Amino acid sequence: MSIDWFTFFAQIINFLVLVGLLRWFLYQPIIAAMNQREAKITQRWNEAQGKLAEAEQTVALYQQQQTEFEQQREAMLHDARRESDEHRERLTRDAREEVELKRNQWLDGLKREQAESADEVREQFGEMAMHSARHTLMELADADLETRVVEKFIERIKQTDDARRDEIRTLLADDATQVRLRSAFELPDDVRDRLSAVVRETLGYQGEIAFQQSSALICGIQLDAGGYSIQWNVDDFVRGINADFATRLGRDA
Amino acid sequence: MNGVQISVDQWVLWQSDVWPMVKLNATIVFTWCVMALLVAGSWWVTRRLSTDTTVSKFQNVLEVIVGGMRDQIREVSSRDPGQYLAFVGTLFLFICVANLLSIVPGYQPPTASLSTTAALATCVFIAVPIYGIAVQGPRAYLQHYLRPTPLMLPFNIVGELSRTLALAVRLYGNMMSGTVVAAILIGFVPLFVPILMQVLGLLTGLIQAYIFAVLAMVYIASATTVYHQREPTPKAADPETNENSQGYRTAGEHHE
Repeated sequence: MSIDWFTFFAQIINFLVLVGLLRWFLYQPIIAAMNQREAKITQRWNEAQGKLAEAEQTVALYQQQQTEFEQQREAMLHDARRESDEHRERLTRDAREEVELKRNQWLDGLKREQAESADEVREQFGEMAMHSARHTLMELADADLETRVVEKFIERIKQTDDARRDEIRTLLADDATQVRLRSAFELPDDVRDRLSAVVRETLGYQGEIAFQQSSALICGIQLDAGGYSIQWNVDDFVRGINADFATRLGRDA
Repeated sequence: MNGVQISVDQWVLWQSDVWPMVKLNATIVFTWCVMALLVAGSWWVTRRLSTDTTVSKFQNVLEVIVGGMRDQIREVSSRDPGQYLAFVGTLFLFICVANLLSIVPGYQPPTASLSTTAALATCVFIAVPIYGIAVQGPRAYLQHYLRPTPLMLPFNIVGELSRTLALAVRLYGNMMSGTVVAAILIGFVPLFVPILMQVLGLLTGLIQAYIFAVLAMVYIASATTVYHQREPTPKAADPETNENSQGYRTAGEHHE
């Protein structure tokens, strides 16, 4: 165990030379290569990070667009539903209105038909009643009945209220309209005189009175003076029965 | 070299007639072989270095070795390994390769010579103050020997010398003993056991290279550590004071 001093110093020199050589041939190139690679990796990493951030941004953008599309779709769907509902309601309303119109038209038609039917029934009934009454009265007509009819007619003339009587007098004074007396049967002369006297007395008419015979009057007498008429005949009773009949059918006569 | 030779220094291959002390012994020659191997291998690998992500196997091996050494230096000294890598890394590589080549028949590791280990330890012994003065300045470095009290000056000096001696003798003893034990065992048990001893010798050589390099780095790191006098009124909130409770901080990182 001894130190050879020549070897000792030679080994120091050798070691220092080796340090220099390895520094030149090993450490510097290797470290430079490692640093360059690290820089490259760092650069790639940064690029990757940038691309990742860009990709995340793009994803976020797409998600936002998707959300917007979804919202737009929902909004459009909502609008479409609303328009559809409105359209349906409009169609329903139109259909209702149309149905109502048709119903009203049908009801009007029905009422009209009902009225026409009622009128027809009434007319037929009236005609039947009048025919029956006329036939009955014709069968029963005699001097007593005609006398009773004239009496009732004279009573009706006399029972005319004052206002109407004055109005008729005024009309007869202004307009020299002829007073006309129509009867269903032939009036005897004494009856005519009596009637003329009553008319002149009651209405203050001094002109000529025309007597006519009319088969339309059923066993009755009618006085036409200045647009007014005073009458008594069986037709009035028949019409009264017709009015009652129409009332019972649910409508006005 | 026969079995009774203890040191490879005594295996002289050439000697000058004019100056008898100038000679080429096996230590120097094998050292040159190791140097040639290291330099040639480094040159061969680094002549085509790839800076891309795909590298050759040999470049990968070298990068792993260099990177590992840098990490070790950074871990031991807690500072940038740049200025220490060449010295400490070469120590490790030289000792490691010199020891591992002992598996080659006829090869004698130069580290089995006390002259070589003493030379390496002397290099460390010289490098420590050089690095210390370079980092701290001569005054601050020399004051390092007076701490914690000037009475410790002789002990610090003895410590410096003794650790250098220990560094040299530890490596020399381990490597020489391996060689000698192997040589002796061959005489007793010629089969199998020498192989195991060779394997053990490889392991020992690797560990010794690591120990030598790490100790060198520890000595350098301790020499480059800047001492700071504590303030009379310590601030509890000062992170620097808390982190460096011993009053030391690393010069490389806090150099102002």
